[in-house]
Amino acid sequence: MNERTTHGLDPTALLRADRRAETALLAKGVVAIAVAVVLGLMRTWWWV
Amino acid sequence: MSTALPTDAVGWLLSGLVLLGALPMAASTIGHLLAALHRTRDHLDRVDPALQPRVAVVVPAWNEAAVLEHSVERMMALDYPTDRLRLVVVDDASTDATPAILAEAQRRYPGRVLHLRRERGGQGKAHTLNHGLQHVLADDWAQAVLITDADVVFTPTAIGRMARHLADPEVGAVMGFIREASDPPHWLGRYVGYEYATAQLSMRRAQNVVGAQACLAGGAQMLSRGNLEAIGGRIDTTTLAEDTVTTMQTQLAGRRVVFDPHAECWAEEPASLAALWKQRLRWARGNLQVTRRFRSVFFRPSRQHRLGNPWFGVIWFSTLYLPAFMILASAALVTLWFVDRGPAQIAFQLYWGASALMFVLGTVFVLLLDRRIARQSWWAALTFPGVVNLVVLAVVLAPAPMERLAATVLPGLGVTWDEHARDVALLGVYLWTSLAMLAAWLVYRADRTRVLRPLVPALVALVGFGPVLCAVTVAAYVAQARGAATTWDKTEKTGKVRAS
Repeated sequence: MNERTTHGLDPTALLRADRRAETALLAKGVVAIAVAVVLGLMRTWWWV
Repeated sequence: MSTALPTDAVGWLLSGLVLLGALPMAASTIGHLLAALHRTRDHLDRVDPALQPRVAVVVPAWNEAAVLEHSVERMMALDYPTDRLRLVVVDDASTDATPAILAEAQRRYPGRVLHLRRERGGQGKAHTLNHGLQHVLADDWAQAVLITDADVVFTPTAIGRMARHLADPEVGAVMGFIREASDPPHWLGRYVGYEYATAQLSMRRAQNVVGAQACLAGGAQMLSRGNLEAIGGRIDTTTLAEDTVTTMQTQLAGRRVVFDPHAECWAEEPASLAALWKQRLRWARGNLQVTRRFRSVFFRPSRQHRLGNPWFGVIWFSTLYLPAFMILASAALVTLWFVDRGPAQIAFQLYWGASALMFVLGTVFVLLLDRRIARQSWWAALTFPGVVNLVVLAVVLAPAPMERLAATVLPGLGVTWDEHARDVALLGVYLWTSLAMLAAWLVYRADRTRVLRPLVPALVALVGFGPVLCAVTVAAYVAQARGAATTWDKTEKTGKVRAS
């Protein structure tokens, strides 16, 4: 099942790309948590 | 200022009510964390990438001449087999050039574009859609139905990406990501763009993870034929939120609703606050109607569906009753201040401190989700809660530097920064959570006057787009309490959507 569609885009390749993008979300979540934690620590120890 | 724990039950109760005010933010934060885990439940392992069912695209159209030609041309050029895609435009007794545009489109694309006309129109979108659905279901050609709006422009692969999920017989409906794409981008569109990134790219992913979706996107929803027939073959006409009713009916019938963030389409959102208010008031009133109708499904586990998921229930109700949470927190904080200032200070620090960190986490995550939105809407993301609230967040996160700043700057402005001034400022901050909604309503009123309208973008940045949305929700409470008529208001579109 690796047909090309009318514009020549490979649906299987699109699916692979979409899965990779979803996997990358985990790293983005970790970055967001890290930024919030660092701010929280700065609040606790440095800026009181 | 002294801080201390509450000494009696009243103090504890008031402190608890203040912290309850952070529940909506906490639910959103959990949503962002769930979204980060989307790969585990994104449904991309159960799709058939080559599946291309016969899709009937149903478009309701009432005086859509400004947008229709462009969207028809884009639809005809999609990356989907031409013999498996039909466009059915239901013209709701339009009085502009819509019929002529559709006649020309039928001539150019024989057998691919169909123009249905209702001679008596004005009953609303759901009635118009039902006219089209009745026609589509009359024969067995369509295997899936895509419901969209006349102004929505699909990216070339969007329909294929939605259709692939229908390989899973458990899936009844799929929705794509609607990107705000007004051209040129306008200040309000930047807020809506960021809001859509939060509500769709993050929260709908989170809803995929828990297996319960709140609402199919009105402009990008694909229903399997089996599902559409199972829910009666028609769209609900009794509420202002027919998409949400379809979503609920699908899941209550035991079928999944899936969000595919990569099936992208573009839409133009209102360019004025008054137009946005009208649109959102309809949505908020619809949500209140739907909640009333489906109230028995929340927080109740079921083998049929996941709508009883606890996080789903909390996010649903905390969105619906967000203004009530804010007023409650604000009122409890002010009361606590007069009862016992020490616990008030602790509750304030906890409430705002937690809110600040959750705001940072959510904003960073959402901006990381989409580069284009990050580039275009970073200012909107930053000022989403309003500059006033940002100052409060800065005070809570960095009290000592902000205190020094106040002591340096304010005397130069003629303000004596002493204990009394601090008390007044603090009470103002406590009240602001509620007053922001009133201020947002005043900004909406200002948008309706020619003299003050140029100031509205700056005023929204000051007050916050979030409080504007909360104020609309309050207006919806009032409209529903007054028993306002359930009538459909069309959102005006100009057809200026980016083409790439």
